[in-house]
Amino acid sequence: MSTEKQNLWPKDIVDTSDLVTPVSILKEQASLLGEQTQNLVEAKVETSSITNGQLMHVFYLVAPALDNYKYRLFTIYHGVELYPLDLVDPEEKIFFDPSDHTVIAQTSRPVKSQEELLERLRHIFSSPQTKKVINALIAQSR
Amino acid sequence: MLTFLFWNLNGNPLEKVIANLVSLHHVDILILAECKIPVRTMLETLNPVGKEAEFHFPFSITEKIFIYTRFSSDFLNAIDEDKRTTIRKLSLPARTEILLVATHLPSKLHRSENSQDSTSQELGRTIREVEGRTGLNKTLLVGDLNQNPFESGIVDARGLHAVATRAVATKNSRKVDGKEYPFFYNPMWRYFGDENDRPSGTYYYGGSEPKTYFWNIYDQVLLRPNLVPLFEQQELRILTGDGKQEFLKKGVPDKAISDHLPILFKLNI
Repeated sequence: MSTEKQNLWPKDIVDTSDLVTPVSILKEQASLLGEQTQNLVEAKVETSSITNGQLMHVFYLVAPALDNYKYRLFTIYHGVELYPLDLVDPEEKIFFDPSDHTVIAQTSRPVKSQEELLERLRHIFSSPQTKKVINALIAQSR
Repeated sequence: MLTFLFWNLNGNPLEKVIANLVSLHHVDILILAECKIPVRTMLETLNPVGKEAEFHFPFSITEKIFIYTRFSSDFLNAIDEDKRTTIRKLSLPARTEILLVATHLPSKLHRSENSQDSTSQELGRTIREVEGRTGLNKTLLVGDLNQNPFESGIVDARGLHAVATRAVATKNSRKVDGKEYPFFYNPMWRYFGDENDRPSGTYYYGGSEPKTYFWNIYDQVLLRPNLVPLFEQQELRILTGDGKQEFLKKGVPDKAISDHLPILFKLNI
């Protein structure tokens, strides 16, 4: 029997696409808020593991001058496969589900890809509710 | 002794009724859900012209809960909030410091049971995280939980983990799947049934579904075990009037006032 090592791993086992983990995206965005608010309102991401191998990342707005008051803006949940992930949105929306003719309020909708996550974040960050919270914290911090 | 009043107003302009209740029961901390009364109107009603202003509105961004206090705003600081829940540190001079959590969880009209469970689990996790961060574990949770005390979001260890008896709650915590979960004590259980000619819940819904409870106790106060000795058991009440008018009509909550009944309780801190 030959002693030469055989490599059974496929050459493309490492994903060389430019996929960034959701938490990296959140942290990058969090780091950008302080500059825009003269650090009166900052953002922070806290990660914890929950049941079923899922990770939970909570995106907070933080007001250092208010004894580090924290406002929970949204939460995402994902497993090892990253996508689809669940994003629990602050804006409660009412949807009609045609499959069983029910009306449901849904704050959690699956995000299928990195592009979709970026789009959802852009939507949350520019929503009137987010602006209202940030401006209230700035006013209270001054 | 501090007196708390919680009421889901169903969006009605009840400021005068609230002022009656506050005066009648000498309420110190007023907590309102589904409240469309502007803060200014509420403060003007609670602090009539010609009298020294007693009530204050501590800073908060939460949209679903409004809290007014008979003491300075400085003693009830918000430390963690989202749209539905506010977590405050209540630190009155020379009194026991506690965490006050007030919330209005999503309605059954719009959420599946699973979805309600996951919301309760998220709230449970948040409370445990804030307790860990602040080092405070004397926590009082009050609000419209939109689930009965026996439903899984309230009972499940990963949710609020609230149990019906002091004897169980004072075991402090229990381990589930290798993880320790602290108990809440839920004194609302004893309000089910029709003993003593009192309302059998805080919310009535007589639907046509096969499974209908009719009376529900969605409005609840839960306490961590180390607050239980400070809780005045006999002072917990579901209110049916303000001394001037009844909140019940034909034995169920009068929707012209609110579809929920208020709860009143006292804490000896």
